[in-house]
Amino acid sequence: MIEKKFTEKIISKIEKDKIKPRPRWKFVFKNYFLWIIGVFSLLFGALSFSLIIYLFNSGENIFSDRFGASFLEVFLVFIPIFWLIFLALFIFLFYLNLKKTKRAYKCSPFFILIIGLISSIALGSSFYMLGFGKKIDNLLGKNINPGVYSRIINPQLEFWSEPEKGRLAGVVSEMGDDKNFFLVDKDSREWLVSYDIFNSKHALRLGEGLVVRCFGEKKSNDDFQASVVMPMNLANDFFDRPGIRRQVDDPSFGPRIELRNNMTNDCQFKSDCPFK
Amino acid sequence: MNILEKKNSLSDEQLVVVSLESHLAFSILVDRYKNRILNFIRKMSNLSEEDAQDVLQDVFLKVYLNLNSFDDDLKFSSWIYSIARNQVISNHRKIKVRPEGNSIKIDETLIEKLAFDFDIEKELDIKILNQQIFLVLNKLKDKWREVLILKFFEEKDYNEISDIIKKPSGTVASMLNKAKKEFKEKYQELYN
Repeated sequence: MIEKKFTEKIISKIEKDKIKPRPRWKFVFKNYFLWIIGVFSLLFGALSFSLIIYLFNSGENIFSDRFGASFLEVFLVFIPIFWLIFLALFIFLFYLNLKKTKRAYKCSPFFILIIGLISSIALGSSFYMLGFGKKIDNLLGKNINPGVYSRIINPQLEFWSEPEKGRLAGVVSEMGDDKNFFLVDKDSREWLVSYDIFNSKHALRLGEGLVVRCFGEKKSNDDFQASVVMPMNLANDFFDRPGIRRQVDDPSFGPRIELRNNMTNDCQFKSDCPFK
Repeated sequence: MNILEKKNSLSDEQLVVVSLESHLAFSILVDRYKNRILNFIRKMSNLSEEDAQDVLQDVFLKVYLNLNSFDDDLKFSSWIYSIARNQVISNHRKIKVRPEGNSIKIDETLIEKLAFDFDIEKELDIKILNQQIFLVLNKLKDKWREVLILKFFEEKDYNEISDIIKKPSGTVASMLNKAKKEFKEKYQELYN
């Protein structure tokens, strides 16, 4: 049994130290704050998921064709690991915040995590259908450091930018004839791509400004022989960066003028020479 | 009816509201809970009476500071037990080791009830049984100890334990089962 003095001791300490109950708004604010952070985590998780679907869908038949890469290489590039980690992080953040709200302990951690996952998937799928995946990819492609974007955020771009391994991606800067077009790659380097559209299994209407990926063989430093040309589907705004844009818009800039001169010399006596 | 009598007739939850303005109301809450919480602290921590009173003082100061965070969907008793539990844990972290040998006397009927629930020999002297039970409790992990103390010595139901240790009721049920099993095993190991 504690003597009566104990109660007096507590009350006198409260009075002496002028202790006041913390204001109610602080607790209300904390609770709302945790909910808001939780909801934002869920939204970011859903956006990550919409990008995961978008990036995965852009791979098309990559797992069957593989374009000179091993299955493991293709798997690592086309499963958007970075965004899966991001999704997991946001779901965990959602859980951490919700766990600290008033009555959350009534639910099991597993239940909160599952709710976070299902909500992210449902919301993310809706975002994807509304075109958010593409919008985010374009936004990041245009504004994030090019190296970070192509290696971490969207490694498909890096995968398609290895001419030595027969893969080349870029924006069509100028059409030649049915067999040639100019392409500016992600490093603003200009290529002359030879491609026989009539013998191609992919019927693609090529045009200036179109972002494409080619599979074939590198002939020389700026000459590529493509057997397959397909639309890139993603990273389109990446090729809208000023450095690449300038190269695309200005034919006198970079090696195109030199290439054009060489080609004009080569084909000037042919009737169908596009560079006359 | 004078003010003190009037306030004494209020429920704990009503006293929380009045305590925001009146130290007298808060002193009634302290009087109502000081012995129960002190016993709980001692059972949980094995601290001496004096050390336990220091922890108890911290508990009541925390209660006072956080009066505005009291959720009136909860029982006040669950809330104060939860604060006491957290204070014991934080005190335990500070001193790093749980002291031993400060077992406290438990109500005879509670000891008998526990002996019945755990199939323990009831012919034993109640004093010896009391000591044995505390010795076994001391050998258990904290998470098993606390649910057993709350269930058998503080006589809390699953929902209240859930509100005190901040775990879902289902988890509390499975923790209790596991804790009982651990207790029985340890008891048999030591005394059979």
